[in-house]
Amino acid sequence: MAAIFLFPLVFPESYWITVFIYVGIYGLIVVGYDLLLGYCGQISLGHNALFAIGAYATAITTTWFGWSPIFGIIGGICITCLIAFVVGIPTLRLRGYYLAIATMGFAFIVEALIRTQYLGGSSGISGIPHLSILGYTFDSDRSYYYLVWSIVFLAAIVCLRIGETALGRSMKAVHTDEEAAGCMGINVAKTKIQVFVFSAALAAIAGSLYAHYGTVISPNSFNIMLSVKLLLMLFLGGAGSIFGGLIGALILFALPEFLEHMERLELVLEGLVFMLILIFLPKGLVGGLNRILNLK
Amino acid sequence: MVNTHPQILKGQSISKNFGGLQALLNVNFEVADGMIFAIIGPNGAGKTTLFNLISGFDRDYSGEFIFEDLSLSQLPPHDINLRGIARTFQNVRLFPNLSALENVTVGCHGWAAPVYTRAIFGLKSTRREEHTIKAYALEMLDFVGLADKKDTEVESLSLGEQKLLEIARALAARPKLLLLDEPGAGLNDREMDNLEEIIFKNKKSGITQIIVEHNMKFVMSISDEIMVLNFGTKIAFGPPEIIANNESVIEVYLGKEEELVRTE
Repeated sequence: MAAIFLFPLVFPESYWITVFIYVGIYGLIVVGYDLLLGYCGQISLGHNALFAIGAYATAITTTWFGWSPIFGIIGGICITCLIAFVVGIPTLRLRGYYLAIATMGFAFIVEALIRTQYLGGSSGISGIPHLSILGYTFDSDRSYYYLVWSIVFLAAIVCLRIGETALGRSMKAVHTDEEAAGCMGINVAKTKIQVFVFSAALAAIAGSLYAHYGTVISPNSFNIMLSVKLLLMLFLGGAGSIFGGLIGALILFALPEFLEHMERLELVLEGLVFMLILIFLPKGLVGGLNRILNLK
Repeated sequence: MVNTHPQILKGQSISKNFGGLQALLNVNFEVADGMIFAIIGPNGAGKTTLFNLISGFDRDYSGEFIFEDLSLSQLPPHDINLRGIARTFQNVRLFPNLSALENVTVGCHGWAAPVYTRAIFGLKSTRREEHTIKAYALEMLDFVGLADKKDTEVESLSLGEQKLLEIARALAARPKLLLLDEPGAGLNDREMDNLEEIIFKNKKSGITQIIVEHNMKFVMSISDEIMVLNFGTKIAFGPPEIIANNESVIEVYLGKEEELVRTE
């Protein structure tokens, strides 16, 4: 944690700071996604759409209607949660592959909508203002870095508090045996919808942070590959451990930077690393580390 | 025997059809408050099916269950649990991703339902709540004799221990009515004695228990009343000494024995 906060001081080079801002933004989605998938066992391939709704909501309200960014973000969270609630009620009745496919269908609809001319078409929305809160504008990379990572750690702590108390245990119960969980007094449908909406809120915050950082958004940043990457981050780092997802995000974004000189080999090496980790460390890096520590 | 206790659970004309197979046909019964009520019968008689209907596991049936003067019909399992009915499962259904103690804490859900805002903002109240839940869960583990296994993964417990853990988890809900589905299956003699003691202690603390069990000696020694099912219909009902001498019951069980002799 200290390393994350000292990082910009040691490496003031803005290129790496930018990389780490994106790691933080995706890390924010993945900690909420971990509650949904790692704890509650509900897969979603629609989180790219929730991320997009958060980003577009704040982009549209601030750019077209001149809202202050903070209200744009709050509005984005509200609309994303509302949409997640409406989408979640029918889809969360489904299990496994069916849930994955249904949420993916939702993602395709949202992607098609943001590609329409009404929402900026394929060039997206530009001229999004920098984020300013109470008169302070986060226009430098370093200030934005600290903002993003403060939110990420706050979110991770909140997710840990949820995951490691009674709520998390009821999620884990729903994960393994919905019927038995029901017989223990757990409202299964409510448990699933709550965690889905909660993870949607974090995705919306991440989306707004993304929009206000780049000041330009376009549909290509929100396609289905993002949801696939979320899955990768989560299982690389270790599902069901909250911080695992953050480590996964770090690897997924930092690794290509190290491999960039190998150009064509990049994808091959990335794929190889992922396969090796998933084969030899099925519980992710965090799970593997725990096992090594326990052996000693 | 005249029953002076009020009825806690009534089943009225319960029928259940599994795609043409009549699992239960017009079964009527009444369970008196505080009783140990056993349900016996050959395999496929509809005992577990009846449990699944009472606990809301399966809501596709005709007839009605009245629990404390209120109908249970069409209530989802979690609402039935909140009303005060807890159950165990014939084939153990613990949560393998939780430790023994955590499994029992899940049983506390009914009276300690967690809330997001409290988990996020209530630093103190969450800690207090976690403490209360874990202390109660540990008490329940201790009650069934598994306190020393609290941090064990459930999959490394013996079958007997898993069965007892399920009872602890069900008791954690502070139920008024406890449904035990073959609690004695897979238990050794020592564990059977422990089980018997647990069931009597539950009775003493006022919990009504309905028990499905195959071990006749065990059923005869613990039950206050016994209902006998055969092919989905009720063929006898009464205290153990009457059931033991009931002709149709003997016929059902002896008939089975004859069959066994013939196939040998």
